Amino acid sequence: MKKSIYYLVILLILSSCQKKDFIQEDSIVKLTISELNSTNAKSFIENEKIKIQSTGAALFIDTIKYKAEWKNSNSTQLNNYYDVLYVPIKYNNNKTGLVFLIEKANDRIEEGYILETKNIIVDDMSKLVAGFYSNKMNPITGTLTAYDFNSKFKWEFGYKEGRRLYKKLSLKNVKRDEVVNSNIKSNSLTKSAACTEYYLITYWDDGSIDRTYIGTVCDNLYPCEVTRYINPSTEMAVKAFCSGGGGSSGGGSSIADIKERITDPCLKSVVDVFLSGAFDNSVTQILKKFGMNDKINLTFIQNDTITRSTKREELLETKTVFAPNSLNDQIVYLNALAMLESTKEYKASRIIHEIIHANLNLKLNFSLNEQVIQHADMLEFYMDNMANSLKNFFPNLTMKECYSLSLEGLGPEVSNSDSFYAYIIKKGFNRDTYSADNFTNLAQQHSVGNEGVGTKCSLGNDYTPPTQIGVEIP
Amino acid sequence: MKKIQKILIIVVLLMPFKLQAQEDSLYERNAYDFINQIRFKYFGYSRTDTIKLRNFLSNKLLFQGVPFVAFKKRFPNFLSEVELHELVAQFNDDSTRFDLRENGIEKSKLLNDSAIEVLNKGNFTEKHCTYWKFSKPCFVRNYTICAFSYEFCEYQRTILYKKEQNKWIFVAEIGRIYGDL
Repeated sequence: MKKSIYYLVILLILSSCQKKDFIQEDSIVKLTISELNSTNAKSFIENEKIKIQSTGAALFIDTIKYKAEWKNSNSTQLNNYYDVLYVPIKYNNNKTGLVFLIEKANDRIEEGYILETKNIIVDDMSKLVAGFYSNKMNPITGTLTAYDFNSKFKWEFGYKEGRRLYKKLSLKNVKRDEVVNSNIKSNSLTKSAACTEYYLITYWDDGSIDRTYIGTVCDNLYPCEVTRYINPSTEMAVKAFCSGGGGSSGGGSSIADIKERITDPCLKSVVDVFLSGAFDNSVTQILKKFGMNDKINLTFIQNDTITRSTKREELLETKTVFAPNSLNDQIVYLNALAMLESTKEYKASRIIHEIIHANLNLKLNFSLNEQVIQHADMLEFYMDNMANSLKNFFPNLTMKECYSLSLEGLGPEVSNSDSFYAYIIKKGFNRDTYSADNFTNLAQQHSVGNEGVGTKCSLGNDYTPPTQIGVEIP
Repeated sequence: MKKIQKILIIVVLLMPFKLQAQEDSLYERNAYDFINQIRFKYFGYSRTDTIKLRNFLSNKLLFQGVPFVAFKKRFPNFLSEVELHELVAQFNDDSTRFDLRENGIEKSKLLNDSAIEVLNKGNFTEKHCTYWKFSKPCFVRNYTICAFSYEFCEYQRTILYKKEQNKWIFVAEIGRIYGDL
């Protein structure tokens, strides 16, 4: 018996020692993986620094490395192939960290970026990021914003109680290809600037899209990127950062904020072209072309019940007003219902008309009393530009159609004036009810969507703007 | 005998005036009937809303921007060439005005010339968005087709209606001159 107790004690001591050894071994393995990931992450950042080749960016990356709390990093398995490593940064009230996606098979870092959060408090950020990639964000409310190691904006996602409200992406639009000018006399070739417009695009879960115009750069030599900066109140802002001159329109200070809230797919397809910036006739280009204020803030909103005043029931097609509590922002209401049968050309003509109103509203400090004055202004100064813009949008339109559409909406008072009559005669129109040259004939065919006129809205018939190509000047 | 001859001559001389009066009366009846039928469909906010109206109907500066080419393309056989010409002749008759009688149009307050003159010297709202301008209804096909133009607040429409079972029914907008806001 004594002997058996003796063996049992020895066995217990031995088994106790084995367990301890095992725990120690497990800790060593864990520590090794964490260290390995950290080492890989650090070298990933170093490689990024080499790739960027910019002193400013290198300093920024060094600061990140110095501020990164590698000891407090967390790792979570994303799936069988990837792990997520999150390294907090002692910066911006601990709302910023580094995220790395690690391929498990060979410990290679697939992707790395800087993540900023807003209104999000969780213990283990790596779990949150893994949830983000797996679309499991319950019950998160707040935003996640990503930047690359050159501080360029990558994306932003907004959540409310786990439901995604929006995603925001940066978009570069090369507005036109390089234009090559040759000078025969001096036998020289000069390449003019190719312009790139920068936008922040927000895709809302209701299908609407906001496009915030960031800036334009017209020279390939000086790239302009959407970047972030921290202003004195530590709030994050996004701007176009242009590393050099090169014809930037204000180097980030020129911001026209163009948004839309349109649900009707046909109307939306027309409005989106104006907002895309991928085309010479974007809102900002129209404003510039017309010598207008291109820093105007415009929001296009679909409202199928807009009326002129409370004293009439008839619906208006469009209406531009000051945004509530604003002296600068303009809202363009568009009535999809009232223009249901109208062609896309007609809708585009109404939008151009309203863009001019928005500008004149600011210029003339608009009240209803100035409506006739604004329409007289449009007739006198903007008709040719309006017609040419439509022609650019829809090359198949005849100039007569463009002018007829542009003459729409000027109102009975202006349309009755001698100057209006003189203008329409000059453009080959008349007021004869029977004549095909009646100035409203073509516009009203577009308005009611007569067969064989313009581009109809139907499934699969979304408007595609003509390709903008460089023009060679002999 | 001579007396009878005199009476006959007077009757014959007065006949056209009587016929004209009958015709006027027929037009008047149809015009009031037409406007009162469409009155609450388009003018004013609700049936309880009293609209201000010129105390006459006139075609002057109404029926603008009516292109029959566009209309015919959409409704090729709705009106014959003769009917179209008949309508245009009526549109262009802007020298005569049709004075409205008090209470002839339901829920309306008629403004006389001097009141309108004062408003026309006012601001945009007073001038354009206070009272309605109605055209004379233009009938063809024995008072079963009507073109009518009206203006309010820089918005002018010309609409074609047809009469079916004593009801005036909207056919199409055949012209429009409006001021986009």
